[in-house]
Amino acid sequence: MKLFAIVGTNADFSYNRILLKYIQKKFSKQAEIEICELTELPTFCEDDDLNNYSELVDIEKKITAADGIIISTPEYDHAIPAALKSLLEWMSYKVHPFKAKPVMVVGASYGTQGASRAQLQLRQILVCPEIDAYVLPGNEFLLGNTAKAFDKLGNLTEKVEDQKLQNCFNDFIDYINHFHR
Amino acid sequence: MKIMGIVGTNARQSYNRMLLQYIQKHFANQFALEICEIKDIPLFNENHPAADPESITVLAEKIAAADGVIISTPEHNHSVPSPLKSVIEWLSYRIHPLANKSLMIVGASYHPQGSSRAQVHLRQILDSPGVNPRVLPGNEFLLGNAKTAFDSEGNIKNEKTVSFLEQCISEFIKFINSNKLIDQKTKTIPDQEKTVQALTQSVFASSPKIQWDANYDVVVLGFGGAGATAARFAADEGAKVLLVDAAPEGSEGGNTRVSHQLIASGDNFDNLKSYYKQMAEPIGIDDDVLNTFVEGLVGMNNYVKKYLDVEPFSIRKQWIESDLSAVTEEYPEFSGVHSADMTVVHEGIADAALWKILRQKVVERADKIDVWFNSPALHLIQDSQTKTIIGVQVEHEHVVRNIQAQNGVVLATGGFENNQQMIEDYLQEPYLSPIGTTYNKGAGIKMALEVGADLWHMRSYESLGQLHGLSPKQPKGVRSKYATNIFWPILFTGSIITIGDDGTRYFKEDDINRHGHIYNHGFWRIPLSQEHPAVIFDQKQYDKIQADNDNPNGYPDILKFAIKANNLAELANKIGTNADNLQQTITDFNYFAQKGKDYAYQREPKTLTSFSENGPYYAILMRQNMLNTQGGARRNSRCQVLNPNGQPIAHLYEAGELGAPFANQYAGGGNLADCLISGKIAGQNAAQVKVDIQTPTNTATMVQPAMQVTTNNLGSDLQKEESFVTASNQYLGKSNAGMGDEIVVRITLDNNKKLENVEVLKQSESQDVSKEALETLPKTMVTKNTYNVDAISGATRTSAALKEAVKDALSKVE
Repeated sequence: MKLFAIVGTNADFSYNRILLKYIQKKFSKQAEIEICELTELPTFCEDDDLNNYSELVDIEKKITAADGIIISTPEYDHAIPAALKSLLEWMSYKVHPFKAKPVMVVGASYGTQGASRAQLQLRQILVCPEIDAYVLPGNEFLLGNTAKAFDKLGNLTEKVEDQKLQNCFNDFIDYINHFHR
Repeated sequence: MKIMGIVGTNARQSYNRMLLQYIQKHFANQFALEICEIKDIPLFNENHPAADPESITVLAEKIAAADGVIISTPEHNHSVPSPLKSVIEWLSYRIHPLANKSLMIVGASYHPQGSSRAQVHLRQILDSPGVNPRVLPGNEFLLGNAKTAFDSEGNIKNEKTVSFLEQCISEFIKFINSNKLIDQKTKTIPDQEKTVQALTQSVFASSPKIQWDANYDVVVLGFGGAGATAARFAADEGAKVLLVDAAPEGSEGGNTRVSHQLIASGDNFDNLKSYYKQMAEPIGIDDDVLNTFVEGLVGMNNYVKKYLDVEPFSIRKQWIESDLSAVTEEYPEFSGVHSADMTVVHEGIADAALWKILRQKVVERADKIDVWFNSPALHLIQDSQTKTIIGVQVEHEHVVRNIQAQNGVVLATGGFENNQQMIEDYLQEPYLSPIGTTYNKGAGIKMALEVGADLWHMRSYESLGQLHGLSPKQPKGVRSKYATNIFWPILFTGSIITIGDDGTRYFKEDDINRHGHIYNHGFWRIPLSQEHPAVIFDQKQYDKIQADNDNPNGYPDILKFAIKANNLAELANKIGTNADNLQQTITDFNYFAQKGKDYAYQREPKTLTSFSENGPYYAILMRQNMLNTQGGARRNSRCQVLNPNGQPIAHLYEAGELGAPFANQYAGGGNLADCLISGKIAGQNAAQVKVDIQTPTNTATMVQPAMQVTTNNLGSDLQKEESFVTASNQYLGKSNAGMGDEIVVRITLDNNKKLENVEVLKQSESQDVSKEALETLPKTMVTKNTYNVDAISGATRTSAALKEAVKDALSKVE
């Protein structure tokens, strides 16, 4: 199974990136997970053409080819970062690779909220007609207090959290399989 | 008011941009909307660049300077577009310019929802701690089906939509103002709480529908010393001001212009306070108001330096030679008097010098102050529910106009010197002959009464000149002349007396009066004036007066008013007084003179000379003159007008002669000082932004076609450009030496380079006293072929200015 995991920020350091790397490592037997960075992407502009940017075209192809998408979002001002929103706009204006694509939303934050508001907003965004993704219902993985959540090797320290992540991921795989059947 | 509009997208074509452009145009008379594009702002990144991009710092500065922000957001994927989100992230990362800023969300979309979900997201986003503006609650303006919403000129087609937008914007302006008020309140002025409370309550009040013709932050009624000062300081607080005067251009200036230009000042608070308190006694004077006034006196020299940009000149300290230095001690027996001084703006008096500076300060601010001459204020417009003053009805160019005043109205209309009804009602006096402006007709008192103001100091008024302020009788409405310098002994030295209506003497003629107040059993009061008092003298006194006619302290040509009779009975008959009384009075007076003691009024023995046994005798009919009144609306130390319960009437202020802080006895220079002190306080307070009392109903009427009128307001009389044409044998000359603004003349030379014509092209001299000079001097100059002709008496300033202007023109002849 091929999954495409989007780091929801363009920041140099991100616990959401660490979270995805952990997921990549932890579930490497169940799925081949490619991590996508937003760092160099242009800002969405409806007057501009996606085809001018090979990296965007590349992302579009990878989303299309993937069996499912994981988005890990931080929370900026109670919402998802502009950089992530910008990518979603690119991927829903002239092209629509998310259409009917299973998507799992996760998120990490320094505070206790675990990007809860950003995740809720992301779910609302993902169901808009231009994106129209199949968002995994329930299974909210909200990783708070991230500064203490990982050990030096980038593994989740809390067993409860780890188990919860495992459950969510399993449900996501089931969800993808359901659509493939 | 300045508002920043942020277009929530980086797209070339955007209905949200069109929406902001429409708001910019449609509400141009209420605020200036600067539209900000976000296309060139890079995508937010925590790490790159290491500092905020310049486009963000520029935007942040503009937001900081703005009174409010409007964000117009499209909806992308049920949320705000990423470029807009990016901007908000920048504005909540290193800097936080949106914090506590009043912000309104609007939005347009192709679909019927009108960006509803994006707006909800935007609200959530803005609520986050790093952003934290004050977002206008409710008032969701969702412009759906944007493609068909605008006409070809970018106007919203649907009237209901426009009307709803107007309502939302009006709420937003109120929201901005109340936020400001809250900020102000938390910053300072704790004791203004009551007013704040009253104002806050007024937000929801309703008001009758009013069709506004023009809109200002502050309207100042009366372009005299106080009004000019109030307008100037209101403008300096950022207000757009309308300044109106009932007089035509050239006759504005109220009593300030025609006064001696003396400003009361002093050097010690406690002494001055004691001095002014004793002058008011036995009448009490509000301690707060007195303190504010006395503080102003102590600071007067600094005020003159700082705000009038001239070096103050002290009458007491620098004008030692003149007897004017004594005038600084009008009540020498009161303690503290030695701290009283008078300040002038240069070494000269009675030359309109102060007035010209005050006027110039208004002219220099012509971009912020519109001036209407010939425009009497008729009524204040008051919110029926809240009693807040929201505007003024002014007659402008023969049309009654409703002028909206957002933040305040300043009453500076002067006194009621020319309102006979009020003189009778408040002063219990017959006609009093005005020596100041003829345009003070008590308009401010009427307006204040209409809106429920309390009154004070109604009985106080001042006269000036000889004999407790008597001037030769003039026809009604004509300004009285008076002996400029108060001391012309010939009117009370010799065989000369003053009689009242019944032919008897009624006061000590040689008493040095104090602005018309004479000694009366321990106090100085203006006596109840006589209907037709007269100065009576015999032939030998007549000859003495004639011989002294050139005395500079004298009254020019006073003898032309003299009525002659062969005997006292005939004289009494001619002037309509009781002959027996007059005969008895003269007999008694002669006895006093013979005894060397005035048993009736204690006039100085050496001033007593017996009347000749035989005629002819003379009488000059006199009138009590009227310098100024002090009555008006009761005010507090902030110059707010109070109602009978002592509560301020919201948004109404008062300054200057109207309701001046002088309750009883009065020392010279007080009124001008009050004009400067109260004018500044009233202007600054009126300019402060208040909670807007506009209601949806009255705002709704502003939407109607009248809006078009208000966009440009109605202009200003100050901005009229002048360009004077000259032929090859014509030259222009100018002078600033007159009583008003610049005088401009055009001279025409004949073939022999002789003066053929002198025309006065521009002048703003007083219309009465200067009229003769302006008419006759040019003719005389032509006849004599020189600018250097004799001045017209009584109009020496105007004459001098005219001569200077013609001299200036002649200097340009090659």
